[in-house]
Amino acid sequence: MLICKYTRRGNAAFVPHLDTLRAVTMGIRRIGAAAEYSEGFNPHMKIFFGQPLPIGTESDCEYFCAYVNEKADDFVKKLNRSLPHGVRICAAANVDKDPNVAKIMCFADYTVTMRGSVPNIKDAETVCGLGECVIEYVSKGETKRKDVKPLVSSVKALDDRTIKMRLCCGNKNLRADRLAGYLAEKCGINCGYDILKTNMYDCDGNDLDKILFGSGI
Amino acid sequence: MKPELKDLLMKVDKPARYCGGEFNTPEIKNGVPLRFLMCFPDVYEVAHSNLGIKILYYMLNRRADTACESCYMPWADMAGELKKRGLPLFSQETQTPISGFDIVGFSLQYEMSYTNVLAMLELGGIPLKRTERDERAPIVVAGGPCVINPMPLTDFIDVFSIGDGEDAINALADVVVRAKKEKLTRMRTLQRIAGIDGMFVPGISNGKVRRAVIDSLETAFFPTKVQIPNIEAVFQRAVLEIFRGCTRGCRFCQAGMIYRPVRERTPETLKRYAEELINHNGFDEITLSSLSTCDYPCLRELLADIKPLCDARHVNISLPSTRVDSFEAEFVASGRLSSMTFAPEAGTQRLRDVINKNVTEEDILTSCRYAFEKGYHSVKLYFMIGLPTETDEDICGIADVVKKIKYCYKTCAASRKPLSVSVSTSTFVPKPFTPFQWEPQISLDEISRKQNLLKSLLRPLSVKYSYHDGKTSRIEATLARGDERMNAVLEAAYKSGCIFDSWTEFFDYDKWTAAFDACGVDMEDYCGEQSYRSTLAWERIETGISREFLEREREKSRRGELTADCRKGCNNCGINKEYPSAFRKNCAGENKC
Repeated sequence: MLICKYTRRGNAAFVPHLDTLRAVTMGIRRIGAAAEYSEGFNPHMKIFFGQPLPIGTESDCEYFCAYVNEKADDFVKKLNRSLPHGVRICAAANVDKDPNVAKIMCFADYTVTMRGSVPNIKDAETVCGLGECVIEYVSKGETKRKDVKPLVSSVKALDDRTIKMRLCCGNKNLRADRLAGYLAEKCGINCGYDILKTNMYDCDGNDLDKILFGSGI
Repeated sequence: MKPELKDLLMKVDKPARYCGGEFNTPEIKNGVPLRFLMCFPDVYEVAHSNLGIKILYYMLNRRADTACESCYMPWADMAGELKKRGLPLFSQETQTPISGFDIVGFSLQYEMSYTNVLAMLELGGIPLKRTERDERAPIVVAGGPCVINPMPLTDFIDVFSIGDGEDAINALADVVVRAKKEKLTRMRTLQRIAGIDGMFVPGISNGKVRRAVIDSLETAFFPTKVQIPNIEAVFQRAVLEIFRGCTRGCRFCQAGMIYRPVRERTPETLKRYAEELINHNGFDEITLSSLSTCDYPCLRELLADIKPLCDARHVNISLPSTRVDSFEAEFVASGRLSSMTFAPEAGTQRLRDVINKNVTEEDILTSCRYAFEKGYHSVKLYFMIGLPTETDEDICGIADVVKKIKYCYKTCAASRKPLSVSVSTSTFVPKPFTPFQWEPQISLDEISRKQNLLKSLLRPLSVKYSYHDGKTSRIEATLARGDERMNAVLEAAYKSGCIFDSWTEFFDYDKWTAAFDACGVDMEDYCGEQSYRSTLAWERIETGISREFLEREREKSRRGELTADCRKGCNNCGINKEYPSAFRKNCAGENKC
């Protein structure tokens, strides 16, 4: 069994979660890796992905666990030649048991990069420092309002173009694009921006990479 | 990715349709003499299910002098955003506006995609009318089965590529590369294109234009490395074309006529392609594609060869268009219990004889028995309504077939699950170059009366019944048998807002009838019976099937006489005379298997 960390950059950020899963599965089938399949009427490759990433958000820290009987290094080398543009395995390790990333993850770091200079970018910190952050979003055709303040761990403006934020993910999840949209509106940010997910942590704030791969990457 | 593009994609549904970056996209060469754009006038997921454009796309990209890209019809939301932002429709691979290409080619697979061709041209800033295109405008080409009758589109398309595209499109690329080098005018270039076998150039081509036919599939290019769509295609699987053409001679079937003669690939070649398809693409299913796969003489040998390969890589084999009399082979192929699909097309033996569908009730029930004993518990049945000479008795026959299948299940089912039967009917649309090309289509009222009759007959049998919208079939008939007057109707319909006509949520019959009225064209001219005496609009094209053969077949249909499979002996359709070299040596088994 292999636990793999992968990126979803550029074009790949527009490919939905299930189709990304399919792209990886097809990649594994292409390289002819020894994968395990579920039994039954319609056998499927045994592969498990973390939580879906919103369309348009890029990431350097997605994970999947595959029931593949291959050595991690060889597998990464082969599979990376067989994945669509933007999807790349950046770490892998052989494990005995599925660490269940979707269950242990609690926080994620995001970098929001503005496409122009925003002199008042510090306002974002102020807005998040208030008593509540009520965001409005459309989900399943319905407009919803929600105070997401409890889901924001930290928001920091690094310079006039960059905001770093750590948000809850997993069971209690806050989508970075929704918070970024809220902040852009509150602070009057007119330029476009790009969001990159950079790291994930467990509930005690331990980096998932440390937990899954040791300090190896 | 450019920020403008990213912002645009964030506004639309399913942005993965437009972002590009598909796995197996070939290198798009820079600075080559010829830029070719392969367009499909329907959405991404449909386009990626089509084999024809893949063949040509990879074939063109193998040329040192050509860069070929692709473009699909954007969904309405994307089309709206493009217009709102003043952005032109662009190519998938390099986001180049479509007006920046030398050749823009469309694949026309069904008539109801015609308005989308106009929409794509307009979104790309290419003048709709060919006469309004200047020297800088791309040459607009159309190919695919529909252009066998190019007449309804002669105002909009510069060049029609009739028949097999492999040689014709290569020749087209050669001519345009040379014409650009010699700095020929658009007019001179088109004149040269008209000299290529199979090319119909409106306003330039003289006399009959002969369909292009490649002699052999063995030597023809076949792509085994294909783009993997970013989101799941309608048919998400590897496609292996085992032969082209069909020998069955069903009298309603256009494909069975216009792809003649049959040209087969050898099992050795197919095995090699299957291996490559599995290695390069990663699909979990491979389909052995043709018009009648079970007629392939070496099917058993081929299945025995590729089954171990496929099993080792967890790839399922599927056989489309399985005939009811050869169902066993499908089971051998997949070994899986899934639903089985039969297309008896008509409810009574009399009508099946009229259409020359050489299938008996006995065949259907034998196949069903075999399947039920294996544990199958689901059957899908396809029929057509409105076939020539059809009476209510034939409609009742459909219900009778269902009853017999249900009884068969009762007596020999291995599964304890209840039997699920679904019946689906389409409305007969007379198509050019078939023995039924002169036949009338039944009226809208008749269509709904027959659908309602069948509905009432099937209701007590607890069968799922679905049917095609009759209004769509009416418009399909006008476009399929249309003449040059249909250009104006098509444009008027498009201008009044018709797009995505094959999608029920978009199709607007009233807009179409208004377009006919506005142009002073009577729909009945195309839906009604055509006279033997007059020359038909599509007879501008020479397919190699003789008119005498089609007339003879029609007469035989009236007498309920059958015509045997061409594999059992020549029926003199004319192909052997018109295309002797393609006809002569094309059996993969050299008639030994």
